[in-house]
Amino acid sequence: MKILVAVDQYDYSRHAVDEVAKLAANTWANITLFGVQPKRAVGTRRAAELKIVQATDGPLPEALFTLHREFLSYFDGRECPYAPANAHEKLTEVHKGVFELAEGSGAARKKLTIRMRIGNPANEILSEAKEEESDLIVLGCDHTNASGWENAASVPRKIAGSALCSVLVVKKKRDVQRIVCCLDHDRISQPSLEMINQMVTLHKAPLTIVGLTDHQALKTEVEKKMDKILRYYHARQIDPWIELVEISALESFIARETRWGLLALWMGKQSILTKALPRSKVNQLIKGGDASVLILR
Amino acid sequence: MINALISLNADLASSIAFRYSCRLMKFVDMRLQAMHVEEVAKDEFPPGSGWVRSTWEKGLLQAAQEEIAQLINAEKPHCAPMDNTIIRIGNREDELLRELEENRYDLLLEGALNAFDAQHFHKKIHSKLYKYMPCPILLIKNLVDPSQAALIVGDIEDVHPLVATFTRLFEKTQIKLDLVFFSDKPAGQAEIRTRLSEAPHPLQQRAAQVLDAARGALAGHGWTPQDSWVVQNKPQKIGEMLGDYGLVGAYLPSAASRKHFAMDLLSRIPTATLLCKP
Amino acid sequence: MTNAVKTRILVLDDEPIVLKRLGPALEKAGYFVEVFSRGAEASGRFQQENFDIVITDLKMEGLDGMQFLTQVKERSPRTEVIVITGFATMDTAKESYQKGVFDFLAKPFKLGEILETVKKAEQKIQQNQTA
Repeated sequence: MKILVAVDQYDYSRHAVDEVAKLAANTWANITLFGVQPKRAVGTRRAAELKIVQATDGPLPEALFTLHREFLSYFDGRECPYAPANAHEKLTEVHKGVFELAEGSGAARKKLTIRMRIGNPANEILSEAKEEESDLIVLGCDHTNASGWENAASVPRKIAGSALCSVLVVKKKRDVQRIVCCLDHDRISQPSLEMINQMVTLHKAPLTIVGLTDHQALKTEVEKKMDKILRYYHARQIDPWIELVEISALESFIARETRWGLLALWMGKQSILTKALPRSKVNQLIKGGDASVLILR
Repeated sequence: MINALISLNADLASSIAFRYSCRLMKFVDMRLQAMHVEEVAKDEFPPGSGWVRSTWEKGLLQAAQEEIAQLINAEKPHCAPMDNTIIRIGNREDELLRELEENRYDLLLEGALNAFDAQHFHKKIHSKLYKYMPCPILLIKNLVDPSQAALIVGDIEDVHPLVATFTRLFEKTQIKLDLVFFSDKPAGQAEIRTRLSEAPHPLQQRAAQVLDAARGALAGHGWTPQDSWVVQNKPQKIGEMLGDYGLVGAYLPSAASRKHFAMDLLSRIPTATLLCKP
Repeated sequence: MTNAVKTRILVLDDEPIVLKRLGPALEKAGYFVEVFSRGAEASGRFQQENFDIVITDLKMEGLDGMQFLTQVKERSPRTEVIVITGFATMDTAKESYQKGVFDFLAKPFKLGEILETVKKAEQKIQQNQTA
């Protein structure tokens, strides 16, 4: 599994890294801690040089180093699949506009990359995920302030709305007591089920699979899909609860269910959720409540 | 041995109910008879009573038989062998009631998918089947592990019909049992979920009266509950808490309107619920 | 390339969809591949034939993948094992490495990731042969 952790220098990014560290301890995933330095006007003769100076200094690179150390500290005293931090913390330009921290010495079973790019945060995160073929993007957000990013408010919502892979928006540090997954009757991909399985294993939390119905219209279709998923889980000794929700009641259902700590939504291109929850509503979902949101693709 | 009838349709609710029943049979001595009623609207019946009608009925019955056999066969590796499924054409509730009365079943099992909208449950509870059922009903909403059960009581009058039914059905089983006293949470008061001994006054006295009566009644049948709990909360939250159990026994009040809270709670229980009438 | 010189890979996963995806991708990459969804069959086949690389799931219906991994390493210590799992825990990761797996991949993963891992395992086998 490849996880891209999109961070900035604010506290919510620490929660996201903390969450990823727990997931990484289980999965030994390849991790990229990724920051984006917003572009600044550089209109001098030595523009390129200035750009590098700006890129590698300041709060974001510092935050990346700190988060890197914090991530590794999670493995203190335990077998760590990642290389230790390099004593000499410096980002160097590896490709045009791409900066990386040299890996620490010592044998590592898995990759932990510290990378930074310059540009528009949302666009750069999406490009990075695509290029790296990430399976999951994780990012934190300030749940007290419309779940945005400090200097680029719409980043979490843009990523959740546009990423090709699954996205986990971490709201705050809290226990996940139940994982509630709203089923997409359109298509349940194998990777999305696998992502749910890792979350269930990580949080040791029970699972609820929610089927959306539109009076009788979708009942048979949804039931078939739910039956398939139930059988998949029963074969693995997991007994999820199932619950049926009328599409018209979806918003109030979601408002009630956010208290469990993690709400997962299958949102493929043809997803019924995409129709039932247009982008503005997904934005609201990410904005509202303090439950983390996992968008599955 | 429990003589049980399970109502099956070719849908997810029935599939879950059947799979749960197979699990339950590992804990209790139960003979399970499956029954399916093919419901046909009156205007769909062919006219007359001759060859055309009998051929039409035969075709319908055969198709239904195949559908239900498919559902049952899928569970064959996990379930004890069963007698042939009873297939009838007609009104489902009437046919089930007729079968229950004629063959003196101890229990009816049926599936109902857990729904956010409690109206589905209320509709069911107020149906003819539930109104006139001659035996308790086990309503299965999710596929859960039936090894851990709870009897929920909110009032002293719930105790005897509930305990009598439960102990008659589940005697000599390995099911572990808890007692749960439930109460509505008045506005401004705290949510409570605690053992009886740790419950605050005056809730403790009220709960003790009911739970002691239940313990006494159970002891008379050789049952000793593992624990006695007191919960004070909204129906939704109590229902979720009861989801930890694989079988919840509850008294189904006949005058539903008088016990709005209890009915609301029953609609919120996501697990298998044994509904007992006086 | 003939089957005799191709790197031989055995894949065991109880999810047909995983096999359907992995089998052809590995074949396309030039490997000789046999896929199994039942542990007993995979185990039987491994007793009969030598495989250079084994890719196995851990949590499968009716079979403990860790047991299969142990069997593989006991019978053929040179075979490189890649564990793939949808229910990864720190303990299973550690135990897998203690038992000598080449790599541990949590699901989901892209084909590119597992192909890269297989390639590395193949390089290790070649290095061992020349050493």
